[in-house]
Amino acid sequence: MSAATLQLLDPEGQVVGAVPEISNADLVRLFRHMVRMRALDQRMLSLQRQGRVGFYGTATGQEAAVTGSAYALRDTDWVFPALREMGVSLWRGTTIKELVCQLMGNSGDVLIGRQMPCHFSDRKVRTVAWSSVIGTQLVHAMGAAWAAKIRREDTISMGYMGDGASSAGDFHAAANFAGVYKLPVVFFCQNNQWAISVPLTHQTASESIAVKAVAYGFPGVRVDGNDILAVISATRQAVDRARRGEGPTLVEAVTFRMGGHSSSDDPTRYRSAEEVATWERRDPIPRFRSFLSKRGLVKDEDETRWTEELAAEISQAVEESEKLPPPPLETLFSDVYEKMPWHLEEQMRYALAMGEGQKFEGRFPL
Amino acid sequence: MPYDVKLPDIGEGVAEGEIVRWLVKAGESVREDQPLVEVMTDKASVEIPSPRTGTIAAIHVEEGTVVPVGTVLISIAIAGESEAPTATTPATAAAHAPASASTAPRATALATPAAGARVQATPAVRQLAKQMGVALESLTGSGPGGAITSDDVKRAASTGAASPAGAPSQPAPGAMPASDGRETRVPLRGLRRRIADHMRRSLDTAAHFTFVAEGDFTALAEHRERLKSRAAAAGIKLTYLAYVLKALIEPLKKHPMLNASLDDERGEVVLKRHIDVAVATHTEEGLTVPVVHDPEHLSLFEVAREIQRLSEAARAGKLKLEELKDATFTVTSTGARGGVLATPILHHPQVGILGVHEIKKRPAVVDDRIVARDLGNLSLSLDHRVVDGAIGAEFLYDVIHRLEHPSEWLSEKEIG
Repeated sequence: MSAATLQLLDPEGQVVGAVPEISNADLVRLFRHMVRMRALDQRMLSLQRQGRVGFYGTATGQEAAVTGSAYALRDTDWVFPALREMGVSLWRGTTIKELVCQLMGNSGDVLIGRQMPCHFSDRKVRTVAWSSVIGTQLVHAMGAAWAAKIRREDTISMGYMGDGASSAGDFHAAANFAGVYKLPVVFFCQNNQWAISVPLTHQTASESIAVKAVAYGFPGVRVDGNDILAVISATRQAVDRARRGEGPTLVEAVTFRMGGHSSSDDPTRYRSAEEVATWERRDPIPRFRSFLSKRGLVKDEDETRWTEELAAEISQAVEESEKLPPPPLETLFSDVYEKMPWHLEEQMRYALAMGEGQKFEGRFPL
Repeated sequence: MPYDVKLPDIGEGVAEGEIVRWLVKAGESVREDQPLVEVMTDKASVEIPSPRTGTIAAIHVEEGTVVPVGTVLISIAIAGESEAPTATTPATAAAHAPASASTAPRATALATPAAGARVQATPAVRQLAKQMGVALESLTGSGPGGAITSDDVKRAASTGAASPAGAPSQPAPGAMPASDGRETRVPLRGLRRRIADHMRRSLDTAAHFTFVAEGDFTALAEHRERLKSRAAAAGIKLTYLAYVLKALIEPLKKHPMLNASLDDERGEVVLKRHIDVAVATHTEEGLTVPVVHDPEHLSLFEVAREIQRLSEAARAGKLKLEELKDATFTVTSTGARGGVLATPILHHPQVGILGVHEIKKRPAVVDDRIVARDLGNLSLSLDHRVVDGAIGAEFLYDVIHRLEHPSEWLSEKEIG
C-alpha cells in the first residue's frame, strides 16, 4: 500500500491512526453486517450453482468498503449502486428475503422480475435502479445531486463504481460536471484490482484512481478498502464536505475481489493463486474482528451464534422465496405508459389468454 | 420420490457441461449445499452443491461425459419421504413447484414441442401468414424450439399446402384473431371500441325510456314529391330526415329540457341555448354521428345538402372534429328500411334522441273509413332523470303535427 493510502487498522487489526468516533454498539453492528454479507454471498453462490437462482456476483473481500461507505450516509441520502453494493441496501433496511426474491425474479421481488439477478435497487432505501452498462449510474448520481442543490435539500448522492468504470466516459462527464457545479455527490470507487479479467495495470497509467479527481478540481482520497475504520473516516469527510456545499469527492477504496466477477466467471484462468493468497491475508473481516475482540466487543461465541442465526435467517428467506409464484403476467405491460394504450391492452389480453402455466417455462410463447 | 438434480445453466447462456468428477457416491448421505460434482463448462469449472438433504439414490452420468443443460445428473432420496410418489403431500409438491420449474426450462426448450402444443411464431411471421392466407396451425416449424419461420410460411404458400380452409381446426387459444371453424374472434378496437364504450356509458348513466307515436305523413309525402325534382336540379336528395330536422326546432325551443344534457358531477341540467342536431350515420367502420349545426338558420334544402355532405364525409372517414362536436339532440334513421319502432340509445350526455321509421302506405281510418295513407312511427328515447313522459309525449306530438302539416310552417323562403 502506498504512503498516500489512509489506513487506521493494519492487517493484524492494530490501530495505526486516529479511530473515528463510532459507538461500541455501532462497531458491533458494522461487524455483524460484514459477517452477514459474507454468509449471504456464500449461500447465494451455492444456490446459483444448483440452478435455484440465475446469476450472482459476490462482494466477498469487499465487505469493509461496502459497509463502511454505507455507514457514512443518512437514510435520506441517495445511493446509485453498481454490481457489488447489495450490502448497501441490506444495511439501509432491505431484507434478505427481498434480496433473494430479486435473485429469483418472483412476485416478492421489489423490481417485479424486471432486472437481471443481483442488479438490485430498492426505492424504500433510496437505492436507485442501475444498468449493467459500466458507469452510467455516476451521471445519475451527479444529476440527482444537482437536483438536490437546486431544491436546496440537504441530501447527498453516493455514486458507486469499480476500477473499470474509471475508464468509462460517463465517469469523466459526471466528475467534470460535479466539479464545475460543486455538486453534493461522492464518487465511491471500489478498486478491487480486476474489471472482470482486466487487471488494474491495464486499466490506467495513473498512479491511482483517486488522482483522477485532481483533473476535475476536487479532492480524491485513497483508503485501505479492507480497513472499515479508514473507509468510514474517509467517506464521512467526503459526505460532510458534500453536505456543506463544498462539492464532490472521489474516494478510492483499495480492496480485492476474492471471488469471480460473477457466477459466470472463472478467475483462476487469469489471475494467480499467489495474488489471491496475498489478499486473503488482508481480509477485512478477521482484521476488524481482531480490533473488536481486543476491545472486548466481540467474543468467539458471539460470532458462532451469529453464524447460526444468519444461516437460519437465510434458509428461511430462501424457503419462503421459493414458494412465491412469478410476478403476475400483467406486469410485463404495466408501468410503460401512464395509461396503457389499446395495443398493449390487446397484447396483454392475448398473453393472459395463453395461460398462466406458460410463464413458468421462462420463455414467452410467441 | 427421489429429487432429480439437473445440470443448471451455471454461466449466462451455457448450453452444456462436462462431468469432471463426482464428489459423492450412490448410497451416501448428503446435506443441502454440500458439493456433489465438479462440472466444466466453456465459461468456468464449478462445483455443483446439493439442493436437498438426503441420500444419493442414483448417479446418472459418468465422469468425462458432456451433457446438455437440463440433463438429470443425480437423484437424491429425500430424508423422511417414502419412495412412493403418493407420499408427497400436495403442499410439498406445490412448494417445490417454482424451484423445479426454474431448473426445468432448458430441458423443455430443447425438446420438440409436444403434439397439440400451441403455435410458436413471431408476430412478423404471424402477420405474413395472415397476408399469405396460410394457417400456422398446419405447419411444422423449422426454427428454434419448433418455431415457425417466415420461410416455412412462404414455402407453404407456394405449395398451397396450408390454405385456411383446408387446415385442420387446431384450436389456438389466445392466438391472434383467427377462425377455427366454430367461431371467429375479432378484437374490439378503434371505432368499434369507442362505440362500445360510449353506448355502455350511456346505458349505465341515463334512465332510458322510449315513447313511440304514429303519424300520418300523407301530406308530407306529397310535399316532398312536389319538391323532389327541384331539389334534384340543385343536386340535393330531399329526404324525410331533412324535414324531421327542420320540424324539431320549434318543439325543442318550446321544451328546452329536451335540448339539454345532464352534468352528473355537478348535479345540474345544462340547458342549451343553441340547437345543433347530430345525425346518426352508418359507415363501414360503424356508427358515427356528425352534426348539422344550427339547422334553424338553414333552409330545408340546405339541411338536406348538409346531411348529404356529412354522411359522405363520414363514409369516406373525412369528418373533421368540429363536425362531430357540440350536438344538443340526435336523430337516428336507417332510411327506407326504418322498421316499425326502435329503442334508441341516448347520445351521452344528451337527454333526447329521436328515431325515424319507415313511412309507407298503410291502412288508416279517416272519417270512419279505412283508406291507404302514408303512415310512419317516431320513437323518442329520453333520460327520465331529466324529462318526464308527459313532456316527452307533448314534444313528440308537436313534432308529428308539424310533419303532418309541412305547408303550415315551411314558407317558400324556408324551403330554400
